[in-house]
Amino acid sequence: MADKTTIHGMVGDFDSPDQLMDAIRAARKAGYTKLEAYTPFPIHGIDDAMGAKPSILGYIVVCCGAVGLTIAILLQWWTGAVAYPLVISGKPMFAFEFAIPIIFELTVLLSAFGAVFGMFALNGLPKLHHPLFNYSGAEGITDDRFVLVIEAGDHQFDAAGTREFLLAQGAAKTELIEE
Amino acid sequence: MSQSHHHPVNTDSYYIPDAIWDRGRNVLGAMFLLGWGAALAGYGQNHDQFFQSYLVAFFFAFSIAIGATLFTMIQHLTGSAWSVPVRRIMENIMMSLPVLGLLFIPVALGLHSLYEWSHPEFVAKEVMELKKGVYTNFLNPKMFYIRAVAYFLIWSFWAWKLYSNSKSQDTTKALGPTFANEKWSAPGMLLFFLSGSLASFDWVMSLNPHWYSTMFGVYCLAGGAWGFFALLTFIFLRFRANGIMVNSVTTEHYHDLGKWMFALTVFWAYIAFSQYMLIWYANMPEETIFFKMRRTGSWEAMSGVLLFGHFIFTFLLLLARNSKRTLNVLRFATLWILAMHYTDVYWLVMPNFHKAGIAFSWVDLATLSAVMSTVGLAFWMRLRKAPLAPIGDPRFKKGLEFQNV
Amino acid sequence: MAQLTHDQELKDKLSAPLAYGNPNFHDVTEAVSIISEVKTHRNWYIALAITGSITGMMGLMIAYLIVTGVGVWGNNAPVGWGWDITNFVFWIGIGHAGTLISAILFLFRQKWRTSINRFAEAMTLFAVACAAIYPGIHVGRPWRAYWLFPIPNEFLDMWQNFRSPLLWDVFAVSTYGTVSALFWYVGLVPDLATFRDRAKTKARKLSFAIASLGWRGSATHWKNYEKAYMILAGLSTPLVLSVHTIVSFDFATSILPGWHTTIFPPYFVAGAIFSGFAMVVTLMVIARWIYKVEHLVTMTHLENMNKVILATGCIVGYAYATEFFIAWYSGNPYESYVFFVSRATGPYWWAYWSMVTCNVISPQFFWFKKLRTNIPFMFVISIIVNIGMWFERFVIIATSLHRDFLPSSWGYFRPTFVDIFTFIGTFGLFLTLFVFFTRFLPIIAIGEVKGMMAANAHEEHYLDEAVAASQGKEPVGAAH
Repeated sequence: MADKTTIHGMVGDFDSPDQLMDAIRAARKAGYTKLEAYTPFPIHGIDDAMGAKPSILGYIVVCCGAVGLTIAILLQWWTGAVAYPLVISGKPMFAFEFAIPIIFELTVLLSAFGAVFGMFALNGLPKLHHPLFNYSGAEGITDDRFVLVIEAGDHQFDAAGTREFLLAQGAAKTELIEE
Repeated sequence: MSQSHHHPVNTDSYYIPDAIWDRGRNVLGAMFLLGWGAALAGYGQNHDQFFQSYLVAFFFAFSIAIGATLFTMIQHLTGSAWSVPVRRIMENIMMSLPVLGLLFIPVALGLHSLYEWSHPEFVAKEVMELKKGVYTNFLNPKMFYIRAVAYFLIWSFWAWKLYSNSKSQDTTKALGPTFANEKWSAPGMLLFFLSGSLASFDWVMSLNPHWYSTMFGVYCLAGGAWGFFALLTFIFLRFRANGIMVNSVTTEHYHDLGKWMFALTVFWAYIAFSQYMLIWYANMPEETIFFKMRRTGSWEAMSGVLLFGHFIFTFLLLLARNSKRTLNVLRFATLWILAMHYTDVYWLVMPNFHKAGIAFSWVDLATLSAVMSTVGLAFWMRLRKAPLAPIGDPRFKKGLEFQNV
Repeated sequence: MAQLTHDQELKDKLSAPLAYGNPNFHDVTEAVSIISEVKTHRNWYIALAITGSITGMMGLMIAYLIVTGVGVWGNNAPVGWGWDITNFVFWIGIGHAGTLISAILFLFRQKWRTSINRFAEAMTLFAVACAAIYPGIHVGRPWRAYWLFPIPNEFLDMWQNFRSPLLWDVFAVSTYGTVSALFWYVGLVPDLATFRDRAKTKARKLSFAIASLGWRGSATHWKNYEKAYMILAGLSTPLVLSVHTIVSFDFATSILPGWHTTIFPPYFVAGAIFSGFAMVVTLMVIARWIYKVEHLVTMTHLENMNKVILATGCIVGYAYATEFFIAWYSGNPYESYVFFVSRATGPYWWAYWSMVTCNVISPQFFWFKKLRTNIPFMFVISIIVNIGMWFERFVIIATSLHRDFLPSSWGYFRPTFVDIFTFIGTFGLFLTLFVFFTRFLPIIAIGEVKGMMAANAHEEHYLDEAVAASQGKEPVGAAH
């Protein structure tokens, strides 16, 4: 048996999203705190069940958008009114009337960068390896399996007891996975 | 198994308690008497001012009613469930259209105070050859009346059809009316869009008979839909304060109503900006006159109020998810939006008459009170004749339990 | 039994079925993954050879253009914008349906968007790629095309003219291409992980492992992912409106009769969605048949797309009518001339009436359920609509330009063989990219379809209850 420090946790592998949800609720009730669920698609209400905090991505996106907005205004004002002023079809050197389209585009562009790269950063991606891939049934997670991992760092973790607990929740399969 | 065990037991009654109904009737009745009394006094004092103020109030109410109709039909077409608990009130606002047909009479009577083209001596001065044909065939009192009658006949018929189909389900729970309303809504959308645009051309755009913009109809309908969502949300917040339908219309529904107000804030801004920017950029005198008039004197301040109040402030107010789920914020937003929509209609109509700058009159308020209380009383009467929600709709239950992801 | 079938019909009418049979989660994985996992079929190489040679022909045309100059096109005074801009707007418009399906229908919680969104988003990217070719080669000296971007350069001490709508276009189209690619990729990541986990060969495993970035599908992953998806949908919605809006500004900011009209922005957007949906129908009808995914892309999907085609076709009709009405109402002789003479009765009458027939009349058949659920019929209509939308752009450009204000400057645009073969070549490029896409990537969003199936399981009981209530019965399992 592997040493406890190199153990990542106990996998409980479930057949359906509803079973997984019930298992998560039961685990939280039983006092487990270090849980992670792995599913092939997002499950409605799982964040509430896990007690997860809402994503902070929205704030990242707003900041990026504000940067885009500022860049667009400065770019158009500086190039048109300061660096290279030239009267074209009687239009002012700078005016919001004609600056709005590019202000909008750059705000959206930078916001989208914030949303995509922010999401990857919050999720710790790209990542070369993760203990979950040591699980013998890991490929089922992107197909039709619903997996709950109770991590070894949990103060209530005990390999035999945790296995018992997961089986009692209806796990079709359990497995101890290493770091 | 299902999510329904998260929901409290729904004990809502879908009928308005008598005491509350009486109170509402009294308030609206008082507004009615005061409003019409003052409006008549205003008429005695200055005919022109009365008709001009009345047109603003009428078009404000009309744009909201047509917004309600368009959105009732969209709900039927998309088979949406979230909106079913609030749909009866939508339909009820839509049913203002026949009442507005009656309220159109003062506009028809005030033709000469409102529209330059109704004066033969104005038409006689026309220099553009082709425009003369427009006066002969389109912009003249006879055609104007014929079109107005046609609009109100179509609108009233359609509104009545959608409303009575929906009501017939309340007891039978039959599915047929749901399918029928879907069928009526598809051509209805087309018809209302066309007639609604044409009515905006007739009643507001032709106040300046030489100015034209193909976007104008869309502009008016977008503003009306915006005002409609604010009114709908406001009504439900008032219901909530009085303990009506509190379990049926939850934060989830308010969140969606808030999203619609937000989306239409952006849509209106998109339409308004496109129209303004294209005219600004091309800079042709026959078009820029519209904005020139609205940048003269104190009108410029009102244009600024629209830019910041109609768009920027409302956009920021409703941007965050939390503000759409906080009912106090929403309550403020609904009143703000209604005020801004009124300002928008005022800004469309009044610069044609008060060219030097804004000239508020107490008759503005009197006519607004008169029109809104008349429409409101009819709304209030219908409120007691049917349940407050389409309880027989097949998607009603799903709509009650709906949650935002 | 008859009662049961009748009840099922009513339920289908209330909420049209989005999957035939009752596939489980694994079946979905299997059906989509197998497309990319089987040994390459001979027909695939044949298809690639055909589309690849058409693309090659486009390459030759472009090389000839670059070596010789823009004079090899039919563009000349007074019609200075010809097929290049027509085709540019045509392709950009096609792309809009992809974003509409992935973003706008997502915000409106239209479940039927799943299982066609991946395909439609791919279409967006490929269409934008085709469109982007034209401004690049129309600048005259394509090797200087980077001057379109505000990069300080050593040759000229000057900056781009931000007052020009053409420059707005550069920003709009490049932002649109970038954001669409990101949105597409974000949607792909969980499915690429599925491919990774199913991979049998080392090379396949490694490439999908890199492409899926180590995605594990943890609850934390999904939480941030769903938030990102929602935000991207919220950003893409105004973005897609802005792109064709800005394309319309290229015309509408001018003072040319027929171009300068305020309804252009929403009218262009509606037309873009119209043509894009038609293109999705054209391609989807073929793809679902070749790849045997009829149970995932059902008649409901096709019918809903046809309804969108009908609705947007009507909006386009509304815009045509408004333009004509206002041209008359304005009393402006130039406006009247361009609509009533240049378009409807002038030398381009055939193009104008082709456009009206294809865009306004042909979608009207979709009022009838029989016709909008008939696959050969919708296939034909979808192609007619795209022909019509191409004509729309051609009509707008050519009719407004060909008769200048001075009759001495009148002319008539004729395309050269370079114009024609370059345009045909862009179809080659578009299809080649599709041939690669359908071979190597998940053409249906596997994870999203599963999520939709899970949500639908909860929906069944509402339908049962509604149907039972309409017959005055207590619903089955009402205790629930």
